[in-house]
Amino acid sequence: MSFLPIILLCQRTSVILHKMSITNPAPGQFKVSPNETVTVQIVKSQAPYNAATSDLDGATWTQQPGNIPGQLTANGTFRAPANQGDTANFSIVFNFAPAGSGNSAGDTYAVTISGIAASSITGPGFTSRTYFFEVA
Amino acid sequence: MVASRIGVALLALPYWLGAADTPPTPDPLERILQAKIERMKNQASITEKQQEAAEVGPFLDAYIEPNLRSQGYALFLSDLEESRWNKQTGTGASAAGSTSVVSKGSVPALFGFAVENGALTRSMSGTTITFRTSPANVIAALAKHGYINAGPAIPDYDGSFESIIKRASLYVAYDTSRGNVPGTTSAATTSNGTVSSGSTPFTGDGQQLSGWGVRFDIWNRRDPRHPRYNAIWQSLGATSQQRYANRLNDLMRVLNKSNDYQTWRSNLMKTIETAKPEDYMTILKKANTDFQAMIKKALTPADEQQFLAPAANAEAEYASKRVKAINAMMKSFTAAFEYNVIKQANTNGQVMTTSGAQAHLPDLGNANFVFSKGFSDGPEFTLNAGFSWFQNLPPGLNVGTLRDVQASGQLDFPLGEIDKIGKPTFTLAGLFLSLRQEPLGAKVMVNNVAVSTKGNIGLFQAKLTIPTKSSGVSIPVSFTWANRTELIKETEKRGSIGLSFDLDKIFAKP
Repeated sequence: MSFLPIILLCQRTSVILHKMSITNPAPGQFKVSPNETVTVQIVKSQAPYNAATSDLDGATWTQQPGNIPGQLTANGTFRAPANQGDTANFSIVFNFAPAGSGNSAGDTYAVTISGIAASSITGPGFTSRTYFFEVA
Repeated sequence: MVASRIGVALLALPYWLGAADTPPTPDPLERILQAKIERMKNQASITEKQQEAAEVGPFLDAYIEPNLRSQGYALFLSDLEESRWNKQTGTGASAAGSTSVVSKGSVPALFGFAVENGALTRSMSGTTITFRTSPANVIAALAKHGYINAGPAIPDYDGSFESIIKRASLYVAYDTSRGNVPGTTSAATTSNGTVSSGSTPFTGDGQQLSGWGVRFDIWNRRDPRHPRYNAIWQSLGATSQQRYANRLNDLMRVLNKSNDYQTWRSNLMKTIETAKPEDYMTILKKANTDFQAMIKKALTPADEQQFLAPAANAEAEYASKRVKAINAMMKSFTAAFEYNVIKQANTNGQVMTTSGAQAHLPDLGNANFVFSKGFSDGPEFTLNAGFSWFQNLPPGLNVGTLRDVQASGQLDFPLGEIDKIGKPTFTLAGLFLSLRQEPLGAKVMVNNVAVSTKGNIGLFQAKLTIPTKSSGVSIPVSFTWANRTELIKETEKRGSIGLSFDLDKIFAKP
């Protein structure tokens, strides 16, 4: 009976370690732990928000970042693959609605993946980024 | 008479000043890459510039199906198309020096500045310098630390003071041919029918003030950021934009496993790390060549069919729908009301009252309604209708208050690109003005013989406006034919040239 709190503590520590293990060795490339929950947040500096996030390849979105009318932030989560060496990836197409001046400079999308600042995207026009995850 | 004190050499001014980015070019590949280069320049960090450079979208162009390609390279160039929206920066038709037959549907949201030389209905040519601004939008931009942050220049009516006051703009105009600077001639002397313009430097004082006005945009939704268009952006995001994201992701999964792709990407990013912005085009053109060679190694023919072509086609479809949506927004109907005050030559200009006394020329008030609507295939029609009256008739002057009634129309045709210059706009315009009174408030005397100058004036104008992308500078060059002018009942032909600055584009830069 006296070992139970220690076992519970170890389990809890293990979970925390997995959650904190995501790394960003190169732009757009992430190393994750098996089954790690990855969060994705996309924030637009000025309305309208208009980014399309692709289906997730190699995993399944728990919550896919979407376009919510009137919102400048989209949130998503997914669980990383279970096996070492497995990969997952998704792409985002970012659109900048041009200002009346014809120039969208100064407007940005900021992408944060599990707390890591992944990208800052500027206009004009539209562009994309792809994010790759590998289970370490 | 051809009046053009401002030389054609001004065509090159934006580039001399360094105000313009690299001028647009008709090379399709360069045009596609220019948007990417602009995004790279807008990025603050080298890492983000590298990421943007290696984004594959523009390099997929070679794999678009012919039927999608037939929609034109312009589909990729919406950001370039977005920069050709015409705005009114100068004065209306009545002012000396004006080269604009109509007031346009939109005006600069922050600041505009125009120099025009010539005249339309007036007998005397002049050089008018016009400053335009919308104080509420300027204050909003200052308070929110940027023009983009300030939100739509013309927001929806929502009961707020902001939604009303942001619709108001004003201008002041100076006629540099006026003034009493020693050694120069004055602007107008009407009592003997002489009309002349002198060479006077711009002093910006009250003697050169030729007019001012306020404008209220009653209806103008030509801002793609307007909340009204959120549903359109949402719809695009859920359909063609989503398809492109999915197809691109499929392609990137395959490419990411290829060493050839990784080498291409790392080489490009390494080059960008130390490159100067002026070298981006050369680097990206080479990257495009390398990309096409890399694809042949990285993908099997089956992969090309399964992943590459669908991604390229999805991008083309999205780009097409996006630019059509933007065009529809920018071609929407506008309505505005203007109140203009035109100071008739206020130095020597005088009229004689019935008692024989000399009095200063009365100022003119002008009410003008402005309507505009664009067509989906490019042209835009603008209609003006209004009337003018004498604001302050001197006592003893026996004339009616209503001076004239006028209507004018203009068709703007966007033209193709001129290498190293830009995309001009060709304009055909006409004006009908019915003078109900003597134009200056009294008869004009020619050789001591009174000449009635009431009647109708018809005017036709052809104009070429040469914009310079991103700089906000444009140069209107026009030829005008009129059956008569206000003071002289003879056919008049004029050439005019000007220079206008839409400073919104400069303030929109980071």
